[in-house]
Amino acid sequence: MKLISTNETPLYAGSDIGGTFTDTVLLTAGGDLHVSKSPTTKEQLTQGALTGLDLAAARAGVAPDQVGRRLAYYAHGTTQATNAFIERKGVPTGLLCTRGFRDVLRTQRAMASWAGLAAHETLHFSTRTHPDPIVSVDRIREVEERVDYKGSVIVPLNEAQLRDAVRELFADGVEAIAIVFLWAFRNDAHELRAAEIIAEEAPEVFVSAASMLLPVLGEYERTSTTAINAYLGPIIARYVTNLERELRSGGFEGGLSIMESGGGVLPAQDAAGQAAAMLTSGPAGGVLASAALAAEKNWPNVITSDMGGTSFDVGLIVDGQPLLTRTAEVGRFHVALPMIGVTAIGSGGGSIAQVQDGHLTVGPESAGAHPGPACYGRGGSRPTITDVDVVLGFIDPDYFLGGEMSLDRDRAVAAVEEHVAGPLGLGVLEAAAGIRKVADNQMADLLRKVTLRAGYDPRDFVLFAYGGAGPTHAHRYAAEAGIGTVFIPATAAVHSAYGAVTSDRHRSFTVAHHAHTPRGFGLASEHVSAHAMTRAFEALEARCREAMGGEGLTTRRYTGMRFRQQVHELPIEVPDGVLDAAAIDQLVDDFTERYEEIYGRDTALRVAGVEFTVLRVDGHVPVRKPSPAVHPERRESLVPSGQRDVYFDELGELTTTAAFRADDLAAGGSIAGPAVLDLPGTTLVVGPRQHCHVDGHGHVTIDIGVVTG
Amino acid sequence: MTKALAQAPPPVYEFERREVDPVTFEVVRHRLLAVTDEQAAALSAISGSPLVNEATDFNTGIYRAGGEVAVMGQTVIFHAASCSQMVRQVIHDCETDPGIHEGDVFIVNSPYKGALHAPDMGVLAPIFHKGERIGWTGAACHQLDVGGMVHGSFASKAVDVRQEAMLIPPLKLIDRGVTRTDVWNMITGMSRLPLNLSLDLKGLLAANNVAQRRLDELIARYGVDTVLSVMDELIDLSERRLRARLRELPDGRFSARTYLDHDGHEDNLHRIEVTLTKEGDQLTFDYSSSSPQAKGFVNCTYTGLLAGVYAGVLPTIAYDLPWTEGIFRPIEVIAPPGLICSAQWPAPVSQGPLGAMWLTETTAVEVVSKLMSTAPKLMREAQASPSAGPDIFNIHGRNQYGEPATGVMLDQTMTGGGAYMHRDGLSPQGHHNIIAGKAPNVESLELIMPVLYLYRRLVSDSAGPGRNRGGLSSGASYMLHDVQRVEALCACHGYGVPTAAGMYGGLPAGCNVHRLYRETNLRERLAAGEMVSDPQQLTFVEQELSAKPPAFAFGLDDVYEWGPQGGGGWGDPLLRDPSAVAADVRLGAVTRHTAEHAYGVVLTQANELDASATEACRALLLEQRRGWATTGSLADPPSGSGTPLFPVGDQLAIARHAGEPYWTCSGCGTAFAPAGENPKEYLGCDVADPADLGTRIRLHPEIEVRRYACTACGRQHFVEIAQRDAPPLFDVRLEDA
Repeated sequence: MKLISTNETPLYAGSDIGGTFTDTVLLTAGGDLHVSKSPTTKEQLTQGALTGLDLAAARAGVAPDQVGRRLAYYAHGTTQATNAFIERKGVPTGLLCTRGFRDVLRTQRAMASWAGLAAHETLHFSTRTHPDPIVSVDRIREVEERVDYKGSVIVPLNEAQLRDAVRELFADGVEAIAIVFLWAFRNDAHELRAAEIIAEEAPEVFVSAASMLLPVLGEYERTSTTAINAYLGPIIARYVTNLERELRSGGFEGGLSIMESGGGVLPAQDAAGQAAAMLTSGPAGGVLASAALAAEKNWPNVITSDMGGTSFDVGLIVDGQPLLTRTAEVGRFHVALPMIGVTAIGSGGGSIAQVQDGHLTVGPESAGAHPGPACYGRGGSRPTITDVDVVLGFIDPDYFLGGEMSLDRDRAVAAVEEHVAGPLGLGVLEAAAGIRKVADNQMADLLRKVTLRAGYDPRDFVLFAYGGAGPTHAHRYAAEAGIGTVFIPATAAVHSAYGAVTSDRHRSFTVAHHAHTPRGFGLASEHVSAHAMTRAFEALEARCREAMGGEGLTTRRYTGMRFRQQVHELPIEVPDGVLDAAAIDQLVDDFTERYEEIYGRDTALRVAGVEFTVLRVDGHVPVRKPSPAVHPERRESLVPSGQRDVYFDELGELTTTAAFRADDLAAGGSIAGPAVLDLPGTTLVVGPRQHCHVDGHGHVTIDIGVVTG
Repeated sequence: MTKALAQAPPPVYEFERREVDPVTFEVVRHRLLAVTDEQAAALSAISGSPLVNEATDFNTGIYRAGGEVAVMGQTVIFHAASCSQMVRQVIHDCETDPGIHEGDVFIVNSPYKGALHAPDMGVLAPIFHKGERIGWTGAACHQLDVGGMVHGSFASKAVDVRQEAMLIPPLKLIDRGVTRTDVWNMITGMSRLPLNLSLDLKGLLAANNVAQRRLDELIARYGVDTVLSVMDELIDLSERRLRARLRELPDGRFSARTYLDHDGHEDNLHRIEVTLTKEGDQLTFDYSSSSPQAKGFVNCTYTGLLAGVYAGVLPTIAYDLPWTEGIFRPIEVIAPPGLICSAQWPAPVSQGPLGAMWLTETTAVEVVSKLMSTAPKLMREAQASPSAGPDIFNIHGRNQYGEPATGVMLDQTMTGGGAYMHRDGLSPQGHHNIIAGKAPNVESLELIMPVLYLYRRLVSDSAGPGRNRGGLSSGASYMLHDVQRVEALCACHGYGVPTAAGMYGGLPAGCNVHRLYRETNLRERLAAGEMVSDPQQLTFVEQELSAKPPAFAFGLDDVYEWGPQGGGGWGDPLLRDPSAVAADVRLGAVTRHTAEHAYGVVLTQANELDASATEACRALLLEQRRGWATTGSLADPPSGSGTPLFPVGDQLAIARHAGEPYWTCSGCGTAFAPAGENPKEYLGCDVADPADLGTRIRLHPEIEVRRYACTACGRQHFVEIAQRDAPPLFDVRLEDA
């Protein structure tokens, strides 16, 4: 056997550049993983990324000057797009729309005053506002043109008027222009011609045309998505150029990818054209990492739960595939690109507990990172979930984030005492346990809601828990939701970064399609052309090949179907190749069956007729990465290096609890609860009467035992 | 079964109220709210209907044994009162015979038995625990069709509720767990869309089932007494918090008055008038001075009135309280039977929720706002009227695919909100009683309807001018496309009477407008390559439409245009920053005409502010106002600034001068009227030329708009819409003043 020098083996890295921390995961050729967390450097974005790489590399025994050269692949998720969007620091953007429809973006289909607000904010009419615009009204230009639902031109494009509008916008200093005409997804000639004219008039302006970005029905969602894409495109283009330059100067010659929200990574040079797709890439990364691990574990159905400082995010993986949404609320607008669906509530480590006339509530108000929980000692005085975890002994105040930050338990106790225990006449421990119970139940309610809404039962799922606080609370919120198995990945504290490095390239291409049967139809194939559908799919596949390259590419076809007069649209998988009449009829049967699986027996309104609304081709190109190292399975009981008193509500008193450190877990083995595992980025809790198993990678599986939900 | 064997109805469980610890309370409370979410999800999933899924025209809830709301959903809030009333009707009508048993499910759609109108069908199920009734679950949603003389069951020509739709009094649909297929078939068979109705019914049943299952689980975990104690404590909690809030407000009487035009038969006026008496921690809404019930379908029943009042109260003074029966306990609603808002059998009511009931809501919002405007702490919650009455536009015929089709254009949900003291109304906000509604895309509608939009955009001058402007509504215009002809129907009020009133000197929003242009040259213009988005640029012959015209034919050379009223304005429009008005003109929110006439703002040809002309214009308007005639005047007006007692909005106050309370103008500090008298008698009054109020004000011959201003400084304090012979409304009467 030939010995490969460790100096020569390639490294693979992923990172997630968040607002506060940059998380990095480094995979060695042998499949071992090393992680690091370093502060994000806002001024020099790449600095934090490079520091993170060096840190993780050091843990793998690689010298800093070797990292760039040996790095074969680097993928990362960034909040660059999200920050520019939230802070409205995109470029001055113009919008060209069909005459008569200037207010589509302003009115947001009547959702402008409530989209993106929490329920309690929506109810408070006097405080409702409209979002700050992406495109200011005076940069919206109506263009003389009109196409109808069939794609027929009613009024041709008035090129002279369009040219004037472009000149005006350019003179006004716009750096990007979005083009969204009615029905252009049926006939894109006017939009494409408009793009050409802009290129002639103002070649340096960034152009995003809806018919190229998302050729689907719905002018509001198309406008919102395309406007955001144009607004952020130039920002992302600059970011990628800088990042690439700095990495290359360190000797990096490998592939560079960026996470997007729809289920994979994009080659960095494609990112600017898809800027809107990067907006929720952080949460998407966590779900993707979970999907990769779930596949290794052979768990088809997984609920992902990410509990951080301010929010609790829940996603679903069904039959191994993350559930995608066609339209996501992003900030206070909508983005209609296929995105991994994540539902969030304001429940995190920073959620504040309070008592109002004898009644206890937790959240949605959050102390955030500043001032943060009382125990941070940064001026926060109101009790948060993190404070409660410290008071009850779940978190070791001297070993928070692996000892990187020390917490002040006295302040946490004082906060609970003053704001909850005192007003309710309870002891501090009892009050803290109560706050924790309320928060855990709220999160369990969200887990149930998300799964039930999608038509599934949470009890059929394995729960993945990650984020700084997820592993600390999953033992309770899983039990309350009736879930029997909890999996906490070794990458729990840096899970999105792990998602970045393990994700394949994945891109969806959609096109609106309109075919329907009449009411009370016999065979769908008598009314729906298999030929037209085949041709449309072939065109999509050609686009997909052009964008993703042919090498290693596999594609899957889907069509969106619904009963006419109904709103529930479902994606149904379509066979490859040339479709025939039988294939069309089979699609209707598949759709009906799937519909009733989700919505219940006898809910299919077949007699209303069936319509096909959209066609989608998902392209998949695997990214090379090492297989995970294989570690022997060990069932021996692990031995803790410490213990501390922890107050478990189930036991009703302080209980001496085994406390494990990462080193205690290295070999893998079993632990009987109650136990706390103090890991570098999080504290993992195993409840009384629960058991957990630690494998050789450091992944932990908790058997919840008796579930209560 | 012989009579001797008939069993007494199962008892209502007399539970033991217990103190629930705050942690368990909060856990159970959150779970109960999650249950109403789950109910909504179950209904939406199965129904699949756009009315349920997009317009959110439904509600769900859990009720105590007597029908009291324990928790309710936050969708169309009109339904909340309705479900609760339906439960009470079921108990009243069915408790003894046929009895209420475990596993029963009742269905109701009679507007005289708790429904708002026949299309709003409710399904209610008792919850039993160990053989005793402990509560109810319920869900209601708007059905696409429930039979009757007109498709969609809005019967403009009806004179009797029995013509409008099928009428189901509380009826047992499921008897002890067994579905009565005969009853099911009869109900669905009376609809033009039996399959859609079946799905909605299945959805409503699923919403009940899921709630029943979750409650069983909660009871198994926490015990029945704990769960019921949480519900009762939740109700008590809302009541305590609302009462505490009310105690912080001054006692007094607050009035609002509006008029509904056209009852479907003729263009007559119907008054809806309310006086809210606030005493201690109690609210009494008295609608006794409203008009008698109308001949046509615009009436609402007493249940509709409750729904209107509750919808007016919940998101205003109770925005941050748990929405339970506790909110309703301090509220009494008075209306003798037989009024337009308390119609008696068999008055037709099919348009009631969009008609009289809608105005009971907006007048309730107005009086609650007037109440809240008398305390600094809650003044920011007070608002001018939101858009006060939707129009409908339904078309019937064949669609572009040659299929029979009836469609509702849902553009009318994109309406403006009322202005507040601290901000303009939202453009659009969406209706105030639909907490989070959506309108369909233009493309979604063009895909299924044979129409081509000329435009969909915010309508200039649809909002009421004010220091803070109301919110604009979005309007639309259509031509027919790819079919030869359809039949069209529209119906609204607020067409010859502005109904979205302004507050404290703010002007009302423009009226609902719908126009029909015949014999246009639109097709020629399009063929010539012109995208005409403004019908006024066409040649046409306009056919005059009333508020509720008979159905009309809509053909190839016709163009229809409609623009809903927006929200009312807040405060004297002359106090609005002139540059904000100029910006509004440049945006198309306000016309140049209205800028000049209502705001006194003059613009250059380029729509830039002409500051000196504006100053002169405003000075002239103020001078004119100072000359408006008063009815009364103080013989010996007090001088000096006085001691403020209560604010009344942010332009008026009650202040004490030499021991006596007076109405005082905050603009100039003048005490102008004794606090116990109607300030309007002492302010200068002018009957406005409608053109001075905006470009979309249209007045019924019997209606006038009165403006009231301080004779010392000219500040406008009230704008009132009234029948010509009606005395001035006494808006705010404070007890201690």
